[in-house]
Amino acid sequence: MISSIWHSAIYQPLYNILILLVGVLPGHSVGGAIIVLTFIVKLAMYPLAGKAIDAQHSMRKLEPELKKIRETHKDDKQKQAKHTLELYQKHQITPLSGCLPLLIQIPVIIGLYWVFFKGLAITPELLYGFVTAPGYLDMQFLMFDLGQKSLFLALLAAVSQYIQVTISMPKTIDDGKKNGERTLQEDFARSMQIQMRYVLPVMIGFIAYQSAAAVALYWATSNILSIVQEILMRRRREKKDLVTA
Amino acid sequence: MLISLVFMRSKKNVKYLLIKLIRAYQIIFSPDKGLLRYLYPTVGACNMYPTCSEYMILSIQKYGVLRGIFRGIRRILRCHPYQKKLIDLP
Repeated sequence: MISSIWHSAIYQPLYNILILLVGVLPGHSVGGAIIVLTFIVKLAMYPLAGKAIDAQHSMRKLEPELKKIRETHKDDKQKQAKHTLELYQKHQITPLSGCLPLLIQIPVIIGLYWVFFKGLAITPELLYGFVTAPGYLDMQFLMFDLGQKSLFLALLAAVSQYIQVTISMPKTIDDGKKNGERTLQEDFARSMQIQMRYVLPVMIGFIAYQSAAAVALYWATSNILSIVQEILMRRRREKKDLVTA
Repeated sequence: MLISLVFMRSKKNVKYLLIKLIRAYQIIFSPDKGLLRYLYPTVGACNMYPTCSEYMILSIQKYGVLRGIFRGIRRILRCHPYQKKLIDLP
């Protein structure tokens, strides 16, 4: 039962969207279809992501109060989280974009993985009535065969993920402190944090390499669009600040 | 299979097993409490208090297994950038 729900709720719609896009695009390029699909997904999430970037900005203004909370509840992470969130609630800020953007993307990624895992071919019985099958599929994108593994695209996914995490991450609290002034715990947390920054992109690069180049292409495009959005919104904010200041 | 049958003998054990599973998730996978927490240096990964996994445990304890899980899932769906009520107990 679950597999049939999965099939008709995720696999088939995604398959149809891809075939539809391939049919519409000149040259029936599968790579182009994936990029357009990424644009659609990102566009659907644009307001969500934009909201989070704005929130980051408002959070910075509360920094002194946050610092006080961190100091008074130094040893109790739970209380720290509670008081921080109370403060945000009072100021009507939602600090992070939360699970929803992730929950939207996961079916797309897993679905894409399956579509290409089964080998993308035109199977008319899977298509909805309004989707006409294109005559052929062009699996070649630039110099990559999207059905195969591609080291380059996997690397691009990993590197873009790294950049995206780095520019969107809030700055560490104790950046200003010198080495000697940090406690052992803070030092440990810091080095872990720096390591994690590398672990995630490596993991994503690995998964992207293991699956088809098509998945890697989706990932890389999605990261690059996030980076562009982050930079554009930041620039707009800075301009706004200049006007009000 | 046998082990799970032994565990599933009574309702109380289902509850116990579920809570243990959620605790294991917290230690290993959770981006707020588990190994991934270092990605979020200042505030932690969670938008709301208590975290969704903590909320799931509390609501299973309060409402029982089925209703608890259902409320837990609804809570996960409430974690989005338009959420204004951040302190949210079951």
